[in-house]
Amino acid sequence: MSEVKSIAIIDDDASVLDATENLVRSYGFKVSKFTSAESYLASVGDIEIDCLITDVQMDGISGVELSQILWESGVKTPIIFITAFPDERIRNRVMAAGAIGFLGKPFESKSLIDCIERALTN
Amino acid sequence: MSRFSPLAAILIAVVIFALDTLTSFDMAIAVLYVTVVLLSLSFATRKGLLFIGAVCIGLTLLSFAVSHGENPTSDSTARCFVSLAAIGITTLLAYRVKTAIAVLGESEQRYRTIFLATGVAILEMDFTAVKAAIERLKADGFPDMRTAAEVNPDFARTAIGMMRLTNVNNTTLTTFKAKDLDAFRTALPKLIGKEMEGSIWALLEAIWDSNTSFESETMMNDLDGNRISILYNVAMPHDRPSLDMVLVSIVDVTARHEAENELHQAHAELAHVTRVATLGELTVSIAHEVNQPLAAIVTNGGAGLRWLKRSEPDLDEVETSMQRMIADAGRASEVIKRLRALSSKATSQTIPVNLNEVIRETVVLVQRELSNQRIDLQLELVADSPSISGDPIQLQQVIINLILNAVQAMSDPAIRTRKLLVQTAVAGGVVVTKVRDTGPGFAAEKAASLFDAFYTTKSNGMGMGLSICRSIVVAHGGRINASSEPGKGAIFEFTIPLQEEAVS
Repeated sequence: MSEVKSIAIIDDDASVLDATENLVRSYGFKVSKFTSAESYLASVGDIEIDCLITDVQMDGISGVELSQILWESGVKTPIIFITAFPDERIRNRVMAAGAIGFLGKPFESKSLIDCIERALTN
Repeated sequence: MSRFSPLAAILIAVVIFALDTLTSFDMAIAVLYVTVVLLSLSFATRKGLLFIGAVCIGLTLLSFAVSHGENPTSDSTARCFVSLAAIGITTLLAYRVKTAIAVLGESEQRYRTIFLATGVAILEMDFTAVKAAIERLKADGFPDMRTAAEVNPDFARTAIGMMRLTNVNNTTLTTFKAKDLDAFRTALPKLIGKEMEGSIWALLEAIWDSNTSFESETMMNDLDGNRISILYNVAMPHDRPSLDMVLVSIVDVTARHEAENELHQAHAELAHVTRVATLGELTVSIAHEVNQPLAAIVTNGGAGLRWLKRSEPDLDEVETSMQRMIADAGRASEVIKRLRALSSKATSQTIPVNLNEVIRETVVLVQRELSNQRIDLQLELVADSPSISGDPIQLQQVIINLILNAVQAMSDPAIRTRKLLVQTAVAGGVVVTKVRDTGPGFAAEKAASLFDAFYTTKSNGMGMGLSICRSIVVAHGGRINASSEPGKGAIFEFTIPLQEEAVS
C-alpha cells in the first residue's frame, strides 16, 4: 500500500459505528465516521473517500437511497452495505446495481475486510 | 257389551221404578238404583254420571210421592232417605273413579304422544338379564364394577347382548335410519361400536351402584354405517328394581358437535396464530435491540485481535476494544432485562394460591379432551390444601400444558390403557405436583432436551409448551423434571415452595 486509503462509515448506532471504525482502523485505513446519510452527503467533495460502508436502515435517508443518489449523480465510490435485517430482495437489488458487499450484522471481521480489499483493487 | 249398557241401565231403572211405585215391600227397593249408576260408569261421561245420579234420586222421590205422598209413615220416609243416601254416595264415588280414570287416560295419552312424536329417540328396554349378571358378580365377591371389569374385560360386550329391546318410537327409527323395529332390534348390538364401550362400562357402573339415571355422550353408528354423536340418558325407575322397564332417550348431537369442534379448532388456531405473531413481533424487537450490541461486540473483538496481531501490537487500542466489548455486552443484557420486566409486568401477579383448587378448575377445562380420548383421570390431591404464593393463571397454564401433553401422548389408538394421574403431595417445604400418563414415554437421553425452547415432536407444535412450563415453575422458585420408563408412560413432576418458604 503506497498511500493510506480513506474509508467512510455511516451508521446511526453509535456503538456499531465506533466498533466498525475500530476494526477498519486496525487494518491501517484512515476512517471518517458519519451518523447519518445526510451528514455524509454534506461532506461529499470535502474529502476523498476510497470506499463507503453504510448501514441500510437509518432515520431519514436510508443506505439504499443514499447509494441511488450517489450513483445517479455519477459518484463511483464503491459501497459496502451492513444491516441488522438482511433482506434477500434488497441484497439482490443493490448487488445488481453495483454494490461491493451486503453484510448482515453481526458480520465476521474478515468478510468486511475482504470486501474493502475487493473495493480498493477494482 | 258397552253398546247394551245404556239400554240395560234404562231397563233396570224402569223395573226398579215400577217395583218401587207399585209394590209395598218393607224394604228400600230404590237402593237398587246404585246398579244403574255403576252400570253407567262404563259409558257415561263425568257430567252424565251426575245427571243419571240425579235422575235416580228424582225417580226415588217420585215413587215416594206416588205411593206414600198423602200419608207418609216414618218407616217409609226412613227407607226413602236410606235409598237417597245410597244413590248419592254411589254417584259421588263413581264420579271420583271416573275422574281418576280420565286423568290416567290423559297421562297415558300424553305419554304416547311424547313417545311417538318427540324429537328425542326413545327406547323401551329390559335390562333384567344385565341386572341379574351384575348381581352375580356382586355375589362372587367383587367390591365394585372396576375390579370386576379387570377380571372380565368382555363383560361390557356380553351385557350389550343381554339388553332386550321392547319398543322404540319413530324418531329412533329415523335417527338410526332403520326400516322398522325388527330391523333396529337386530342391528342394535352392531350400532354400539368399540368407541361406545367406555360409556357402556360407566352405565354398568351406574347399574351396579343402583343409580336411577345415567347420562353420557358418545358415538354410535346408524344402519347406513355413518357415525353419529349422541347424548343419551337411561332412566331406571326406583320402583322397578329388576330393571324390566328402562327408558333410554337419545339425542343426535352430531351437528352441534361438528359446530363445536369447528369452533374449538378455530379457537386453537387463533391462539396459535396469536402466539406465533407475538413471538414474531418479539423476534423483530429482539433482533433490533440485541443485534446491534452483538454486532459491535463481534466487530470490536475482530479489531482487538487485529491490533494485537500487528507487527507492533497496539495495546492501548486492544484495551479500548475490550472495554467497548464489555460496554456493548452490558447494553445487550440491559435490553433483555427490560424485555423481561415488560413481560412480567404485563402478566404476573403474586397472591396466595391453593394448588389443589387450581388443579380442580383445570380438570374441568380439559374434561372434554379426556372423555373424547377415553382417558381415565385419577386425582390424588393431598388432604391439607397446600397454599403457595404465585400467579394462579400461570400455574394453571403449567397444569394444562402437562395434562394436554399427557393426552397427546396417549392418543395413539394402539394404547389401550389410558390412565392419567394428577397427584399433589407436600414434602420438605415444597408442594410436589405429579402428572403421570400411560403413553409411550420417552428415552432417557431425551429428558434434558424436553424443556428446551423449540424442541417438539409434534408436526404442528412450536416446542414452547414445556419450555414455558419450566420458565413459570422456575419463576415461582421451583423445579420441573420428567422421567419415563419407555413403553410404560411418562411422569412430569414440578415443585413449588410452600408459602412460608416463598415469603421468607
